[in-house]
Amino acid sequence: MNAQFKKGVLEMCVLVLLGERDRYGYELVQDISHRFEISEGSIYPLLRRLRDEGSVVTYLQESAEGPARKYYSLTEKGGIVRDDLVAEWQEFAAAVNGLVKGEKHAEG
Amino acid sequence: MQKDEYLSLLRQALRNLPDNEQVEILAEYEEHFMMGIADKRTEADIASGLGDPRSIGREYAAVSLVNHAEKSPSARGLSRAVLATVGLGLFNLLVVFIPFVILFFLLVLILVIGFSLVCAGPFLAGYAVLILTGIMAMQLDAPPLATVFFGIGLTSSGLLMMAIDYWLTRICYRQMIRYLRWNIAVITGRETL
Repeated sequence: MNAQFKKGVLEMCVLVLLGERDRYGYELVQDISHRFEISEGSIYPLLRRLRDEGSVVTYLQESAEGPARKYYSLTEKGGIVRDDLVAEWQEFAAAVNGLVKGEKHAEG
Repeated sequence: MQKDEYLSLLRQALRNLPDNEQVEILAEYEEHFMMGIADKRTEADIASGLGDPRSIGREYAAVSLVNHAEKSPSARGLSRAVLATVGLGLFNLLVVFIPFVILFFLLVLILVIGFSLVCAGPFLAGYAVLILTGIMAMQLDAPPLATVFFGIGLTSSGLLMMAIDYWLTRICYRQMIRYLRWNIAVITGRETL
């Protein structure tokens, strides 16, 4: 898939996944790359920016298997950002799908 | 590339950041390696999945320095942010560095001209006053009284220029921060032109 496409929606995907439940960085990478291929390295700078912007917060939690993991959690502000992005995405995706299927709409 | 080499290259690229940020970022990548290893992946595979540590580090550095320049405005802070952003791509020499330098010199030039006017006013007026009071007997091309007023006018316009320059500098500073942020987003592929 086109790299530009993915980078644009990565932020939305991360916010949606964090809206389901808190996740740690590696888990996020795994959950997204199961669906489509991403550059794993792009997640961490993104998470840091989301934290700087107040969309997510972090906390450390011990794990059974090893050292403490850094969990990311969606904030109220992050929820609003996510809803905006999802709405924008759905509108865009519907318009593009319509075009690809050759649907005639809003003409005449 | 192995984990240790990867992390040391990343640390090297982050050296201009405050210690706490370096530690935080490095911990994130170390955790990623640990998880990957627990997942039965090789260090080389994890490293190649993450991408070039130098360019990742440069991106962190640019973002962080822009944030700092925004939080505590200073000429030094902004210059560091500009240089870090230029480091992201050669093209930025053209679209970031050169405009920044030109803008900087223009603002300094206005300041210098304004300051010269402020200083020149009292000299001119004082000179005319000396002639008016007869302390000095010199020829002046213009009427002395008019020269006094002209001197006051010069100083006032100099002050006005400096005030406008201050205001312009503040606006340029804020816009430069916004521009750097947008530039980083475009270069790292988050946004398109």
